[in-house]
Amino acid sequence: MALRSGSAVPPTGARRAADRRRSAGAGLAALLAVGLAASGCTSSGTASGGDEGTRTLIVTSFGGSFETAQKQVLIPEFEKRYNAKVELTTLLSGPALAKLKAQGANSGFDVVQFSGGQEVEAGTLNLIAPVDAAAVPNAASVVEQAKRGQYAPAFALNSTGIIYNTEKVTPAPTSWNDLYDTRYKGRVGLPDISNTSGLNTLYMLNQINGGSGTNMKPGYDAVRRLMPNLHSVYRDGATMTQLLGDGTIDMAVFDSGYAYLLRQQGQKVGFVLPKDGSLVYGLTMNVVAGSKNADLAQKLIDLALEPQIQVEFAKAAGYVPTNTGATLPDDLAQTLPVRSEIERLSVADGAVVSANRAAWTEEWNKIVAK
Amino acid sequence: MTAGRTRGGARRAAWLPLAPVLTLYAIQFVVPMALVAVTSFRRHESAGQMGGFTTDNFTKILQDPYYLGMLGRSLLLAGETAVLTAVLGYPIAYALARGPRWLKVVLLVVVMVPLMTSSVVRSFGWMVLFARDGLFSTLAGPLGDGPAGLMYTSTGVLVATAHVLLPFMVLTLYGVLDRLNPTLVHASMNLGASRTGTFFRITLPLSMNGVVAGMLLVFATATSAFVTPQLIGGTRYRVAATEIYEQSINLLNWPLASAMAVLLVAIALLTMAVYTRLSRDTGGSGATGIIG
Repeated sequence: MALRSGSAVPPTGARRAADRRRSAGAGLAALLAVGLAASGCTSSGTASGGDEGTRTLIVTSFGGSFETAQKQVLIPEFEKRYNAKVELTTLLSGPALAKLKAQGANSGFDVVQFSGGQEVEAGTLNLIAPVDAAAVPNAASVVEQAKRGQYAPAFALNSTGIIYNTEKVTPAPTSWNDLYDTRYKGRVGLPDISNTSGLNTLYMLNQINGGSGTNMKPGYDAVRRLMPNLHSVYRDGATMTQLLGDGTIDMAVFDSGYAYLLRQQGQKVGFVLPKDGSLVYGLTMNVVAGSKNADLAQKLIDLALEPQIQVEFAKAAGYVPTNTGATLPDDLAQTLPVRSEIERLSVADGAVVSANRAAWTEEWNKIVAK
Repeated sequence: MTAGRTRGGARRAAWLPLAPVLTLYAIQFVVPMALVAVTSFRRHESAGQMGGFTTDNFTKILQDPYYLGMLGRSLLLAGETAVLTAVLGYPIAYALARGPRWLKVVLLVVVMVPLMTSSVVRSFGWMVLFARDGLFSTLAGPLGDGPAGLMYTSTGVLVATAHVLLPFMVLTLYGVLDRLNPTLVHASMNLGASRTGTFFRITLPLSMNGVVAGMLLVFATATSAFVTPQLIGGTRYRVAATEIYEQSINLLNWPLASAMAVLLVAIALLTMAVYTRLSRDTGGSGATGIIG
C-alpha cells in the first residue's frame, strides 16, 4: 500500500539526495515484504500419503502432555504391530468437530479424538462411523462409564476437580463451596467453558445449587457469585500450570490428569474431587465416516483399549484406564484418582450438553467478561 | 481505426501482467468474502446448521449490550493503538528521515523486527515480560496493574498491539517526513524561528496528513487484531476478532460469526475510504496550500 500523501515535492537539483532516498525507500519496501511474508506464514493441518506399501493414518490429538504420551506409548507400538504410519495433527475437540462438520471425510482425518462428549453430536450427524465389535474386541471389557453404544468406547477417563496449592490452602478444599472462601479473594482460577473442565464446572455448580439441564439459572448465579474470588479463566492446562506455579492463584479447577502431571513435576499441589459430586468424562477415538482406512483405524482404537497400553498411558499422562483388565501399580493408584473414587462420579448428559453448549457458552462469556 | 485498435491492444497488454494477482485476489479474497457475506444473512439453526435468510444476526449484534460492548472494545483498542503508535512512531520516523545513516539502520532493524516475527512468538515474548514476576512488572512497579503484571489486562493488550503495528505508522510517517521540502525548514530558521518553533509551526503541520494516514492504517489493522488479544488478553478480555473465532470454531455459529466479520470489514473499508480520500486530497495541494 503506497502512501500518496506527499507534502512537498523535492526541488530539482537535489537529485542525488532523491536517488539516495529512493534506494532507501526500496530497501524499506523489501524489508516490509519480507516481514509480511514471514509473519504471514502458518502451519497447515494435515499431511497426506506415505511410503509405498505402508499406510498412513491421520489422527487428531490434543497437543501438550496428552499428545506426548500418545507418541510415547501408543503410536510406536501401533506402527510396529501393523506396519503402518500414524500422523498426529493437533486439534482440540471443538475445532475437530467443526472441521468434520464443514468437510466430513474430505477433512482428511481417519481418526478424531474427542474429550468433551462431542462423539454424541458427531454420531447423530453420522460424521463418525460405528465400530465393528469383531474388529475391536477390547471394547467388550470396558467400564460402564466408558461405553458409547455402537461407537468406540472411551480409552481413558478424566475427571474435573480442584487443584490447590498445598502450602497456601489449608485446610484442603473438600467441596465446590470452598472456592467461595473469602480468604481466597482474587486467587481462584476456572477453566474456560470451551474446555471440557469448564463446561463441567458450570454443570456441577448448577447441579449442586438445585438446577437442571433445562434450568441453568442456579449455575449462572453461582458463577456470578464466584466473581470476587475469580482471578482468571484459562483455556488450557499450560496457562493454568503457569498461574498456579508462579503463585498468581491458589486454587484452580481442572482435570485429574493435569493434577497428576503437576505432582510428577514436583509441584506442591493437591487434587480433590469435591464431595458434593463431580463429573467423569471419557477420551474417545472415533473412526471418521467415509475414511478409506477404517479397518486400520479400528485397530488403533482396539490397541488404545488394551490393558497394558492403558496402564502405560496412565503412567505417562495421568488418565484413568477404562479396561477392567488394566491394573494400576500401587504407587500409581495412589497419585491417580482411583477407579472406585471415579465410579461415584456422574457423567454429563451428552445430548443435553450438545444441545445447549452454545447457549451456555454465550451466558458464561457474558458473566466472566471483564 | 487501426490506431484505435492498437491503443485498445496496448490497454489490454497493460492489464495482462496484473491478471495473475487479480485472479489470486478473486479466488482467495473476493469469493470467500462473498460467501461470508451471504452466510451472515443465514439463520443459525443449531451448531453448524444453517437455515433460510434473515437479518437476525445483525440485529442481535447491534442490540445485545454484550456484543455491542465487544465491538466497542475493539474500536477503543484500535483507537488507543492508533494514538499510541503516533506518539511513539513520530520521533522514530523523524530520526529515520533526518538522522545519521547508522541511526537509520539501527532504527529500521528495531522497528521492522516485530513484522518479521511470528505473532505467536512475539506475543509469548510479551507474556514473559508481562508475567507476575516478569521484567515489566518489576520495572513498572506501581504503574503495573496490581501484583499480576500486565497479563490479562487491557493495558497489556494495548502495549503489545502497538508494538506490532508501530512499523505501519513509522513507514507512513517516514514517507511523508522524507519528502518534506528541507528548504522550508531552512527558511523558517533564517527568518528567526527557533528549532522548536520551526518544528511546531512548519514540520508538524506539514506532516499532519501522514499522522492521520498512519493512524487510520493502524486503526483499520488493529480492529481485527486476533493473536495478541487472544494470548495476552486471555478469555476474559474479548474483542470482536476473538469472538468471531469463538463463534465459528467452538460454537459453530457461522452466521453470527460472519455477521461480526462483515461489520469488521465494513469498519475497515470505511476507514480505508477516509484514508484514500485524505491521501488524494493532500497529495498535491496540502503543502502549497499552507505555503500560499
